Parts: sequence; C-alpha cells; structure tokens
Amino acid sequence: MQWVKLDDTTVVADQPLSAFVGKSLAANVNTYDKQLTRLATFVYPTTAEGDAKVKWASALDRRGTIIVVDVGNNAITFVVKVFYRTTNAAIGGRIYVQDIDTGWQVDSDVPGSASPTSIDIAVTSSGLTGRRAFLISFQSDVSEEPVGTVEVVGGVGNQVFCEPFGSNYPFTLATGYYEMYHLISFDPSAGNPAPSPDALLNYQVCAFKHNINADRPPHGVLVVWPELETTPPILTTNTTGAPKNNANLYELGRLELFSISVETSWPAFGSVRSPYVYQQPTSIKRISNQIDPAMANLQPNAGTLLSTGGYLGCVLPAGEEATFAFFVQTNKSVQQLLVSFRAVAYTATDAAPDITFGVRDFQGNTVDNDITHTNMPVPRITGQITVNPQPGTAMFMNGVLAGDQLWGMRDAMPIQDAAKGLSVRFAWGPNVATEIAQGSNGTTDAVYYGTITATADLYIYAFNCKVQ
Amino acid sequence: MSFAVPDIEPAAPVGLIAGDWIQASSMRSLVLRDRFVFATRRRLIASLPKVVTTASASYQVAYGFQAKMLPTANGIMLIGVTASDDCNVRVITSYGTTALTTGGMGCIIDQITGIPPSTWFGITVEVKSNTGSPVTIYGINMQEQILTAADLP
Repeated sequence: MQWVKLDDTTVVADQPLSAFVGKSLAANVNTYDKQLTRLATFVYPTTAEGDAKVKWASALDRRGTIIVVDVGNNAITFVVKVFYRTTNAAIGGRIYVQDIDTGWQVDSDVPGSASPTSIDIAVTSSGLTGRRAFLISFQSDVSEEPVGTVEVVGGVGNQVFCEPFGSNYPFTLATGYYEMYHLISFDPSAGNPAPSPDALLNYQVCAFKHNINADRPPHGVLVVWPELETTPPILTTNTTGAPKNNANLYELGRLELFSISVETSWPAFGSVRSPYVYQQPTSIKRISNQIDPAMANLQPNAGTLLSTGGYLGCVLPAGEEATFAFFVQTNKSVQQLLVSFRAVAYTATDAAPDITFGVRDFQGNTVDNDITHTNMPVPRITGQITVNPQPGTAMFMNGVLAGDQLWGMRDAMPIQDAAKGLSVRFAWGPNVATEIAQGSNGTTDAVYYGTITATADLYIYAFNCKVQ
Repeated sequence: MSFAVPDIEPAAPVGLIAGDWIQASSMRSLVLRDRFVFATRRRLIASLPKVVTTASASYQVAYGFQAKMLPTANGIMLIGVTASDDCNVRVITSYGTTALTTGGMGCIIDQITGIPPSTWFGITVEVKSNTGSPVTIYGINMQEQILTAADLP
C-alpha cells in the first residue's frame, strides 16, 4: 500500500496545519496514475467442460467486435490482453485493436497455442477520457499446404455443392450442419464454370452439411462466406451434374476466445508541486480540481458485456431478456445508470421496435420505472440467405438466422458493418423512488440486475453500463 | 490524526480563495474527498453475462478468464450473483474458492480473500442448479472490495 499517511512525518517545520495536509494531498493525487488504473474485462461463456464457445476465424479480411472501455481520466496507455487458445496449435493469426473515433490501430501476431494462453498488445495514445469504443478484430493465418480436396458440383448463394474427391472427404463426417474453419480455393479456368476475371477465388468455409437422405444430391454442402460471385457465376447452379472441378481446402487459424481485458493508465498529474503547495493557495484549488474528475471518471462500471454463448455480442429475440447483474458498495454510486449499446435487427419482422431498459431487485421486482424508447430505427442486417445480397447489407450475422450455433464466423464483423448499428442509450435515475441497497460480504438483498427487452429480434453489441 | 472513509461522497469544498490561510472545514473536505476517491474507486473485476444452468445437479463450467487487482487493493474480491431460483455458483482461484447458494429466487454476495494485488490470476466460474430444472442466472458481478479506514495507512 503506497497511499501517503497524513501525519507529522509529512510536515515541514513551521508549516501551518493546512500546508502539510495540502502537501500530502498533492502527493496522493500524483500517485493516482499508478494506483487507480482502470481495468475492463470482457468474459465470454464457455462450454460445460470449460472450452471456449466463441470460435473466431476469418480468412479474407479482419473481422471482430466492438468493445466499449471506460478508460478513466485522460488515459494514454492501454494494454489489451487477449486470453485464448487456437484450435490448431500450429496456426494462429493476427489481431488488431482500433480506436473507432480516432482511427489509430495496433496489431500483433497471435501465435498458435494448444493450451489457454494470452497475448498483450500495448497501445499509447493521446489522452482519452470516459467511454471509448474499440474494434477488436482478427484475421487467420492459412495452412501452407491444403488439407485435402473436394469435387465441386455447383453452387449458389452461400452454398457450394460437393462430393468426395476419391472415396472420402478430407474431414470427418457427422450428422446435420457442423462447423468448419477452412478456406476453399476455386480455379475456374481449370473447370467448366462460367469465366471469372480472377484466376483463383477463395472463400471461407463456415460449415458443412452432409446429405444422407435418399433424395440427394447434392451429396454435401459447404457453407461459404462471402456469397459466391454471381456476375458472372463461378459455379453452375446444377446440383446433379458430374463434378466440374476440384477445389483444395486449407485450414484457417481459429481463435477460441475466453476473455479480453483492457488496462488503462494515465499520466501523473504532476502539475501540483508538492513542496510548494502550502505557499501557493491556488494549488490547493488545483488539487480539488483533480479530485473532482476522479470522482466521476474513476467510478466503477456496473456492466461491460452482453453476450450469448458462442457469440461476441448478444442475440436478443423479441420478448426475451438480456440481463446483467450489479451491486454497489457506496450509496452515492447508484444515483444514475448510463446504459449504452448498438443494435441491429436480423429479421424483417419489425423495422422500428420498442426497446426497454429496467432494473430489478433480488426478487425480480421492478425498481423505479422502466424506460422505453419507442419506434427505434434499428437497421436490419441481412445474413447470407439470398442468392443476390442487397447493396449495403452485411453478412456478419451468418448462422444466426438458421438458429444453429455450430456455424463458424457467427457475428464477427468488419468495421463498416460495426458502424451500422443504431446507438441506443438509456439514463436510468438519478432520482429513483427506491433506494438501492449497498452490497457487502454476506448481503442477500443487494444484487440487482438490469434488463433489456425489445419488440423485435435484435443483435446487441458494444454494451456498457456506467454508474454515475 | 485519523479519518474514516466517508460512506457518502463528501461535498466539494467551497470558498477556496488565494491566500495563506485555508479554512479548516475546506481542508477537511478535501481530505475526505481524497479518501473517498481512493477508497471507493476500486476495480470492477468482471461482469459476467447471463447464463442458464442445465438441470444437472453437478457443477458445469460457465466462464474461465484472467483478471488483476489494483496495486492498492486489499486482496478481497466480492462476488455477487442473482438468479431466478435456487442454484450454486462456485468461483475458483488459486488463492481460494467459494460457493454461493441463492437458496431460491434471490441473490447473495460472497468473497475470496488473500488475492495478491497487481497480479494476473485465473478465475473459473462453475454453476449448477439445485432444483432439478434449469435456472437462469441473470449475471455475476465481481468487484474489488472498497477500502476501509483500517486498510489505509
């Protein structure tokens, strides 16, 4: 513990009482940069066995998610710690950290690792204060050699029809859709699909479906991202013809994500010259001016993440609740909750949903009044279900529409899609009718939870709840 | 000289003006505000999203991650959970383990002590239902315990 004790050891001979107190206060304020640094941790659900549910592979560009970090006061240094393992211990990738507002970014290699490990990415920036949004994105390395070959029959939209090359597929077959993290390379010039300006086209394989029914073909379906080129098509839409060409499969580095932490610190205040503070009454005022921002900017957050198992963000079907728990240790700290997130709709059922935020006590009772924003113009994000994607639509919700959480990629998005989400904000309080109980060890009535509901299916990301 | 950590955020001092003398009440207010900031601005260790248990009476892993306390932490991590019915949440670290039981629809706060400050450590969170049916855990909140006067030098 380095906090300076206020006693006679800090006083100089003949100083007035206010002087040595002021000097000690200045010394305290000048150590806040090291002793009250901020840390935001984003923790993603695991399987019952402790394996990561978020599995993150991206072949063609870097894709990821937005996290909102309450960086404190005038933060200049950031260390982003990613806790992960890779599915293939020999293949990793590269991870990027980008400040949404200023655009600066840093990147780092992600080495392959069979066991959970972490990498630190250090960033130095100009002073940032309050809640800041960062895009954390990842691009996979690709295996140097193909893992095998399939015979391609045809394709349409995000489906490639295939059969085994030889007697077997270069992967183990299972029932229904199952997840893959591969790259498939077409060479149209070697086969008989329509011509393409590109001699070699690459698509990420997110899933495979093995058709075992008698009405096949196609024998197998590779679900790819992005959708196949249609103008001109690189594959015919025929599912019954003889195989037209062969395509190689490569393995992608795949991140299995457990958590992301961001630790921030800021420069020493420094401007209060401790030895002279008692001679400069204006410096006392300066101390006050530095304590005040620390009051608000260093207030702990109540929540940092809403996440559905397997997703970087939260899939919120209409009528269901997204929740987060919080408790407060000081009664001043619950005057106001500031909730913010971005939202997109992934179905066409309602383009302008009502979105509601509320607080519940330990018995599920409503605390104060719920807040509803009506007719919110939430943009709709179209997944890969169409042959011809509409201009401006995004594909980062791949897999959600099928309701199958075994698909790869899921909700990793490029920055241009991340920017499409509607920014939703709620300010709950400050004059609530019911006092929030303070929580301490053994308390059985002081953990509350926030609840978010909507009248349409939403996908929520970039969530933060700040206590004011 | 000793001061308690105020329970409520002290009001800002008023009337500070240039001069060699500062009113004692203003200086005391500054001291208390400084104490309040230092003692209460602790870290949120993690805010874990909603999880629904299985019906099984056996623990199942829900989260595994790394965290770090402030260099001035007192080594105590408070864990709060609120759930729709009776369930257990077990939090495991290399410095201690605790199991929280809600006992029905409700909440509880427990703690793990002895965590070294400013050191990354691993946390595993396991959950199980005590009802034979799936239980919704609305969230799990972990914070550094705020400091008391006894923690301060």
